[in-house]
Amino acid sequence: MSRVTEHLHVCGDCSRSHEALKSLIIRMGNIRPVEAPDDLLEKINDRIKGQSILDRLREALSFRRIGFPVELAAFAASAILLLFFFNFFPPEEKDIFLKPGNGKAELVMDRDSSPAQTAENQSSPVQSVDSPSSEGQTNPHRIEIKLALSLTTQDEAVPIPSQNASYGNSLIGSTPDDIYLWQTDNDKKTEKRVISPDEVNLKIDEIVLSVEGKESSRENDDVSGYPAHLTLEIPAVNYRRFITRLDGLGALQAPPPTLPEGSENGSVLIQMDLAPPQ
Amino acid sequence: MNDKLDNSKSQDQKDDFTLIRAFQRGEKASFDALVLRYKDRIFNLCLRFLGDYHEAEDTTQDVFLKTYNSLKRFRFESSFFTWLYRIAVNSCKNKVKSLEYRFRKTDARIGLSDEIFDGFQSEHREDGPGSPASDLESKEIMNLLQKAINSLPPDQRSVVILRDIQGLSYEEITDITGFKLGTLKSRLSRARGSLREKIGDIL
Repeated sequence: MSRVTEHLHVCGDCSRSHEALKSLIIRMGNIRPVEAPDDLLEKINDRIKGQSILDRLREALSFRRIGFPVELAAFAASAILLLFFFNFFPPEEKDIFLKPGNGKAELVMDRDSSPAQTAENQSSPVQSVDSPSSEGQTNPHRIEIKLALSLTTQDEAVPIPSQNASYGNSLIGSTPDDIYLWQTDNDKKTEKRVISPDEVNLKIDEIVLSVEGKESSRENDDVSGYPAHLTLEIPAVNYRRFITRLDGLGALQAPPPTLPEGSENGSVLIQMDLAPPQ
Repeated sequence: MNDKLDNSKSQDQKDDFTLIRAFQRGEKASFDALVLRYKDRIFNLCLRFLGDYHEAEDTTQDVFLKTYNSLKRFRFESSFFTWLYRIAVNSCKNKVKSLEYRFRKTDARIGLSDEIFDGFQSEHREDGPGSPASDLESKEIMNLLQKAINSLPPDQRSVVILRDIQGLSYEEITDITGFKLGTLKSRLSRARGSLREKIGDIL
């Protein structure tokens, strides 16, 4: 008779607790499977068909299919980029204010505003174009970042521990909880720790917190479980620190975009795509 | 007994691989065969994870749609079964996290639908299974049990469903979740402990 069984015979609390646990496991084991809806396959196929129609449309509209010359496509893309650039960063800086009057906002453009006029404007109840909703707030500058996650650790590969030796045959493990993920090399009979989805998410939490960011969405990749998309808003003054902290998470796919001058007082809306390494 | 089980699993895997190879060659019908093989198991996983029949149906569709889109890239390095389950568990976790789902669950206060109780066997009753009193009590217990499962954190929820409801082996669950065996056992222990605390009086 094992020591546990002996103890259960004499200890009422543990015995009751053990019985309740056994009863719980039996009850859960007795849950009979429910049949999936009859039309499930039909609905899945409908969704696949709907998706295929979209794919065909996308293919039909793609440049490759209609033989659009690459040079022409590159020229068009450059023209759009230039237009976009000059639209956002006009060569001459203008002070633009919204002036409320009779319930209607009026645009006021002032090229040569003197310091006195500026002071007057600041004290008057006008709002910057960037802040249509409330005083003192500006629309965040949008930045898109692509990052390849690095999952390697400094840990060395270790022999795969024998499960019996480590944990015995007990129903419930007693090892401390961890969030590690191990990659097994069956040929060499070793395993090496890699960064798990939980660890990546914790690192992101830490980075967001360190730059006083507000996260609006985080989506995980369904197949790998690693975070795939992240949207957050951070104070512009912390943007550089944010980029530096990303180093610990992976490699940027392109140099990080720089913020335009004068935007230090605003905020930055960062949309980040994260890709696990192949 | 174990050898028989292993042989049957190995045969299942061979059959899966045959169907996937056929799909990769362009035989779309073999995907239907895969859906028919796994639809009940995936649906039940989603049903217990989400605690809502219609959410489970939607999520099961999502899982197979993602499978369809990724199956061309399947490299036969793991079993199709664990790969499919991994997609299902991650889809359920994402669903639970999604704002829309949380809003619907808290705002509309959806009760547990009758379909979810269909799976509960009324056993260990003196007045016999199938009697109205027994059925009512079983439904009530199932209601409490499902609510207790819903209140678990997603990682604990997934391991308790995979192990205690779906009856998967520890090895299969570590393949699906990526947890080390020790992590898996401690999460399972915590999950069972929480469930016992929540519904201990009726056990």
